[in-house]
Amino acid sequence: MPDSNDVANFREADLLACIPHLRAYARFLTGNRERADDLVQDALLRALTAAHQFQPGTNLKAWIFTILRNLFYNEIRKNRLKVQSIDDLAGDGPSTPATQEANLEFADFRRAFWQLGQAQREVLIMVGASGLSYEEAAAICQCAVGTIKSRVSRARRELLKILQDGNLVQSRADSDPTAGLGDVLDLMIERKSTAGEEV
Amino acid sequence: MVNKDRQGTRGRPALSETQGVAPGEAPQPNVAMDRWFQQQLTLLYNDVVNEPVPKEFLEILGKIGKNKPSS
Repeated sequence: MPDSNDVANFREADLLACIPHLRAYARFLTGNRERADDLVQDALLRALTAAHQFQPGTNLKAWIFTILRNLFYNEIRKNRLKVQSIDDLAGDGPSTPATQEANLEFADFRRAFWQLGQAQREVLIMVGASGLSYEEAAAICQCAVGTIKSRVSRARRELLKILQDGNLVQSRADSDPTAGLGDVLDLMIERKSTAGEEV
Repeated sequence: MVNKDRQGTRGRPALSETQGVAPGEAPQPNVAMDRWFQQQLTLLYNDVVNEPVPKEFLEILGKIGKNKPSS
């Protein structure tokens, strides 16, 4: 007997479970709490509209991540989405109670993370934190698996280098959430132009 | 054998991706660093994941029931 909350090819409970991950992914894409949540709402609405396109048995989270990512880059290209600083996250520490030293470590890590380029932050979150496989991340980013692996590897190296060299920015306002975004957009435009698709 | 010249500060492990070894031996991955890195990344991510879901999202989900196809 079908679940009364079933629609098209996924359940409300499954979609609900994706929301915290969508919010996290969007937060690290946009660098702004409000913009991130707007993006997630748009992605959810789009997912509901296109629910019939979802293949049952496949990864719903990866599917919605793809929707959200496409919305994000579409908005960037149209210059509608203004990526702001992450000052609203100032002072936030890990939600899990920790020693003061652990908080300092986490603060350093977070600042170093936000000094990475946007594409590097994205793959670290997708593969390293949200549990997506390299293959799923590659499908979402529409690139080769090898590209994702090398991007993750470079991101880790760069983040560790920032920490090791002590090149942490003093103010979060000095961190640019859009760092590296131009390179990613150029790559996407070049790829789509090659494929004959409308950018 | 960990390279003491690159000893971590504030209690975190040394930040090299590999650990120093004797000449001629292949460098070994720094397991402690890998574990620490993953822990920090998870903390960063879970900070957002663990936030309560705003009601606006739940209202969107409420549309699911209205969109189900008729049997």
